[in-house]
Amino acid sequence: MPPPPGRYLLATTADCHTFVAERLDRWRRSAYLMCDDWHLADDLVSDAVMLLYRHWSRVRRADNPDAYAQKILARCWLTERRRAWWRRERTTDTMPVTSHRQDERVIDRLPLAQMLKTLGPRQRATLILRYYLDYSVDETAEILGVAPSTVRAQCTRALEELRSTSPTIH
Amino acid sequence: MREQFDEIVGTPPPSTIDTHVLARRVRRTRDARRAGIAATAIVAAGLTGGLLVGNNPPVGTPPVPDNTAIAQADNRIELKSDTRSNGEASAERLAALIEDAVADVAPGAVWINALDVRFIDAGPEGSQWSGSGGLEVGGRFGNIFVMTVGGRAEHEKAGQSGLSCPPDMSGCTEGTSPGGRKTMTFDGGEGSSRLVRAAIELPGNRIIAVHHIPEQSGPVLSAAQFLQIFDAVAAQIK
Repeated sequence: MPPPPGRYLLATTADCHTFVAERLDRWRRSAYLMCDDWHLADDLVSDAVMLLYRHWSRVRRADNPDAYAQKILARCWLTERRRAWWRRERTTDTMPVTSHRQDERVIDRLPLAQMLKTLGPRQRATLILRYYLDYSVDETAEILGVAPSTVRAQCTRALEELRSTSPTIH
Repeated sequence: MREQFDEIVGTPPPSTIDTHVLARRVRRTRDARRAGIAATAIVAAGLTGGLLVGNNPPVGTPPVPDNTAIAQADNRIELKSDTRSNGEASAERLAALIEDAVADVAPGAVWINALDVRFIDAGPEGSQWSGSGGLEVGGRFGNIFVMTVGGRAEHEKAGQSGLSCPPDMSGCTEGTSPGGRKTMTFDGGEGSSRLVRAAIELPGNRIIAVHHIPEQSGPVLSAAQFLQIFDAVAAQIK
C-alpha cells in the first residue's frame, strides 16, 4: 500500500486565511500610510488579498512570502496611482464618513506627515517599506521593482529633508 | 521615525475587509472560468456535430451510419502533459471533473478548502497531477489527496501495481467498475492510522487514486463512494 502523499499538499484555503489574518492589520497600516485614506487603504488591501488568494500557491512557495505579499500590496498602490483621476473618482449619494480621519491639525504638523504629502507614490512607498516595515534596501528594491541604488538615494534625500526640519529624527 | 509613522496612523478604524467574502469571490471567478471552458468545449463539440450534420451526402447516395450523436456526446477531456500550460489546463479540468462528481455522488458535500490540483512536470519520465482539498459531508470534515500515477507504457506495471492488493491485506478489495475499469479500494487501520483509499485505471496507462485520512468522527465518504466518484471522473477522461 503506497503511503499517502506528503503534507506539502495541504495547500488549503485555510492556510491562506491564517496568513492573511495574521498580517491584515500591518497591511492596513502600511496602505494607509501610502494613500492617507482609510477607505482607499481598505480597498487596496482587499485587492491585494484577492490576488493573494488567486496566487496562493505561488505566494506560499516564495522564499519570503511576507515580502511577496507586500509586493502585491505595493503594486496595487502604484497601479491605483497610475489610474487616470476620472477612474479613481467615485460619486456617492451619501456624505463620506470622516469620523475616522485623524485630527489633521495635529497630524499635519508632524514633519514626517508633511514630507510624505510632498512625495510621489513610489518614493512614499520606499520610505514606508524601509523605515516603517523595516525591509532592507535590497528587499525594498525587489518589492518596488527598482534598483537598490534608487532606494538608497530616495531614502538619503528624504532623511536629509526630515533632519533639516526636525533635528530629533534619526 | 517609526514612532512618527505610528502617530500618523493613530488608531485604525474597524476594518471593512471581509476576507471570507473575498475568498468566495475568487472562488466564484474561478468556477465561472471553468464553466466558460466547459461551455466552450460543448459549443465546439456542437459546432463539430453541426458541420458533420450540414455535410449531407448528395441525393441518391446510399445512407451512411450517423455518427454525429457520438461526436456530440464525446465531451471527454484528455490529460495533456506535452507543455506546462497544457498540463496546468488539464489540472484545472481534472479538478472541475472531481468537484462535479463529488456533487453528484454526495449532494450535501461542501468544499471547505477548495480542491487544488497541480500539474507536476516530471519531464519525459512521466508527469502527473496531484492535489488536495477539504470536504465536509454531514458534519464530518476531512482532507482528501488525489494523484495520478503512470502515464507511459513502461510504467504500466508500476501503475497497475497501484490497483493490486498486497497479499493478506484485510480491508483491501480489487474489482472492476461498472464501466469496466480495474479498481482497488482500501479501508483499514485504526484511529489516526486509518486510511481510506480508492484507485481506478485511466486511459494512457495511468491510474488515479484518492487517499483520505479520517478525523476522529470518521471518514467523510466511504471507499465505495470515492470509487463511484472517481469512476465518474475516469469516464470523462480519454
